[in-house]
Amino acid sequence: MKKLLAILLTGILAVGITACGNSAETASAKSEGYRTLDEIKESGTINIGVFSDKNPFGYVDENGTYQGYDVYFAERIGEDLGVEVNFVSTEAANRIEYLQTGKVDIILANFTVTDERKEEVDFALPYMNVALGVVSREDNEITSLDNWNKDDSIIVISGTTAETYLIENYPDIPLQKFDSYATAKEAFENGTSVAWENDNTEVIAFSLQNEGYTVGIPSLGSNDTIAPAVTKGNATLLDWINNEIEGLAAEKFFHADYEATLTDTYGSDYEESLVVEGGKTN
Amino acid sequence: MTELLQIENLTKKFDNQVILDGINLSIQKGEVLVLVGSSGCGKSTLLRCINGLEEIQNGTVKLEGKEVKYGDKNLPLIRQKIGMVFQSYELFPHLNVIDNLMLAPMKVQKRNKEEERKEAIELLRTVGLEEKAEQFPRQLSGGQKQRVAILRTLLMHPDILLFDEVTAALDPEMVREVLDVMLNLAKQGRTMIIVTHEMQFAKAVADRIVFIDDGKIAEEATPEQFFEQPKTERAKQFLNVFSFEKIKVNGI
Amino acid sequence: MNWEFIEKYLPMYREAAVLTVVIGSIGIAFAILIGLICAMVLYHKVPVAKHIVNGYVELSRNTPLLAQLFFLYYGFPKIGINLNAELCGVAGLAFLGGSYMSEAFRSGLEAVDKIQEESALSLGMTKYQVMKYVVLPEAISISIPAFIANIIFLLKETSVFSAISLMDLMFTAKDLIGLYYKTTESLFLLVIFYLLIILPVSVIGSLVERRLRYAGFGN
Repeated sequence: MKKLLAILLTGILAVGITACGNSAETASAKSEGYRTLDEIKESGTINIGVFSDKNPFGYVDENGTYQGYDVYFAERIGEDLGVEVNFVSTEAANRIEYLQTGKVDIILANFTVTDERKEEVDFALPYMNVALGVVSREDNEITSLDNWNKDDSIIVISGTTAETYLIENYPDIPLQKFDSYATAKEAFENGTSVAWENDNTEVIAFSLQNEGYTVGIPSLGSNDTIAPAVTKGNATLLDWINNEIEGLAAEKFFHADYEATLTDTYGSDYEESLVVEGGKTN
Repeated sequence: MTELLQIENLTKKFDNQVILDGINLSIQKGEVLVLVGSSGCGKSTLLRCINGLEEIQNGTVKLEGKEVKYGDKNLPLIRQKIGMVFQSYELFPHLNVIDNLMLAPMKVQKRNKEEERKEAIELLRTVGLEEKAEQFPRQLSGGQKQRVAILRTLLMHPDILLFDEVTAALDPEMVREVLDVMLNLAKQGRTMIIVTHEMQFAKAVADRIVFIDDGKIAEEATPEQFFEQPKTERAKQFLNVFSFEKIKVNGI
Repeated sequence: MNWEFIEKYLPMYREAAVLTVVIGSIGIAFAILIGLICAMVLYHKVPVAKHIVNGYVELSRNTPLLAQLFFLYYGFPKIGINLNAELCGVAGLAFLGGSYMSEAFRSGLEAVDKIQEESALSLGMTKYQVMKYVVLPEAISISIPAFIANIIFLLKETSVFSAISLMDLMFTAKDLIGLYYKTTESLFLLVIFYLLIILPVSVIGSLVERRLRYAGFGN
C-alpha cells in the first residue's frame, strides 16, 4: 500500500513538473529563453543547430568537420559577428525545441518555412528553395502516390514537412518513421521500404550519390523556402541576420555557397532554381 | 542380533588435514549409539560419511551389506534407509508442515497420497502438533520445527536414524520436548546414532558411548562405565568440562 | 493544456502502449527463458557451455540496447539477414534481458544453502528431484526482487525503439512534438501511459514478493 502511494505521488509530481515546466519555459522564452545579439557577441560564441547527417546540406565529413550548404553560411555568420561557431547537431523533430529552450541561438538545419512553424519560432529571410520529392529504386520506380499498394511503406523522418504532407494528404499510406537522416538512409538502402520522401533537394542528392536509385517524383506539394530560424521574440538577432542576408547579395554569397558545397553533387543544373539570393524569391 | 551398519577403517581428510583416522565401528539393529567428543573431533563428519554426504579417502561404510559410497548412483536408494536430522532443522521453507512431511514419501517412494497423509497426521498427533499441519515452518518454534524434522525422516521408514547435535540450537525449554521424542524412539527399539552434548540425556538413552578424540575412537563403553569410570586421560579431561566444583561454602 | 489535442491523440498513444507492452512482454518472456537456462548452466558448471554463457553475459551486459538494436536492424541486412523492426525489438530485449535474468537467477540458486540440498538428498531424493522440488522453488523466491526490477528495467529500455522506427510511446511523443509542437500535452500523455504500464508491474511484483517471501525465513 505504501509503495502504491509512493508511486502515485511520484507520477503526479512528474506530471505536475512537466506541465509547470513547459508553461514556465514558454513564458521565459519570451523574456529570457534566448540570447540577444549583444549577449552573443560578448560571450564570443554562437550556437548554431545544423544536421550532422544530411549530406550535402549539413553533415560531418571523414575528418570530423562540419560541411554543407547550411554550414557554409553558418561559418560566414560567425565571421561577420566576430564570434566562434559552436555547431550543435540536431534532429529534424527537435529543431523547434532547441530554439524554445535556448539550446541554440540559430537553427540552420535546412529548416523549411511553414505557417505552423511560424507560430513557434521566428524565421529570417530565405536562402534556399525547396519542394518535396520521392526517391525509389530504379527497378521499382514510384512515380505517383495515388493508388498506393497498402503492403508498401514510405520512409519519412519524424518532424519534417514530408511527414506532415503525407499525414495530411495521404493518410492511408503506411509510414516508416525514423528520427535521423542516417538511420532513415540505412533502412532505405536495406530495402525495408519502397520509397523515401523528403526535401527534393535531398532525395535528388541521394540518387546522384548512390547507384540504383531514381527520383520518381521530383516535385511534390507546395514550393517552399528554407530560412534560418531564431527563438520567438529574439528581435535583435533576427534583424541582424536579415541585414546580413540582404547585404550578402552584393557578392552573390549563396551562389558561391552552392558552388562550394553543392556543385559536386548536382553539377550546375540546379543552381538557379535552388539558390535564393538576398532573401528574394522569384 | 543382526549387524546393521559396518564401518571399516574409515579415513577422511579435508585438503591435507586428517579429520577421521581409521575409524572402525559396527552397530547392531536396535542399538542406540551416542557419539561424544570435543568440537572439531570429527563426530559430525562421521555422521555425514555414514550418509554419503562426504567423500572418504579410505575405508568403507556398509548398511546391511550394501556399500554407502559418495557419488554412487545407488545412493538415493540407500539413503531411504538412513534418516538424518540436522542441527538447523532444514525444513523446506516454501512448503507447509504436511507437505514437508509428504514430499519425499510421495516423490521418492511413490506412495499413495491418502494413506501417506493419514500416516503423517497420525505422527503429528503423537507429538501433539496436528493443528500445525497447514502452517509454514516460519510459524513454528525451534523445538516444533525439529520435531517435524524428525517426523519427516520417520515417514520414509528408515532402518537407522542419525542425529547431528539436533538440540544444540534450541532454547533450553525446547530441548526437552525434542529429547523426549528421541527417548521414545529409542524405547521403540529404533537403531540410532546420536551426536550430542547433552550428557544426562546421553546417559539415559545410550546403549553404548563412543568417545572420539582427534579423529580416532579413544574410548568405547557403556554409559555407566564411561561417565563413572572413564579409562583414558582424554576422556577424563573431556568429562571434567561438564562438572563444576562447588565454589561457595555455606553461603560465604 | 489543450484537452482537444489530448483527446485527438490518445488513440495513438494507446496503440503505442500496446506495441510497447506486446514487444516488451515477448522480449521479456524470452529473456526469462534464456536467463533460466544460462543460470542452470552456470550453477551446474556444465563444461564448454559455461564458457559460452559467460561470454554471452559479458557481451550483453557491456553493450547498450541501442547498440544491439542497431546491429540487428541495420547491420544484419548487410550479411543478408533481414529482420523486421518488431523482431529486432524482441530479439534485442531478449538478448540484453537474458543476461540480467541469468544473473538474478544464478544468485538466487547460489543463495540456497547447501545444507538444504543435503537434507533433501538425505531423504533419498535424486539430484534432479532436489533441484525441482527444493532448490529451484527457493531460488526463484529469492530472485523475485531482482527479477521484478529487471522486468521494469527492460520495459523502460523499450524507449530506444525509435531508433529502429518502432512507434513506441517515446517515439510517439517525440513525433507529435515534432509535428504539432504541443510539448506539454505530448509529454503529459507520455508520462501517464508509462505509469499505466509500469505501475501495475511494480504493484504485482510487490504482491508476489510478499507471498513468496518464505525463503530464508523458513528455517
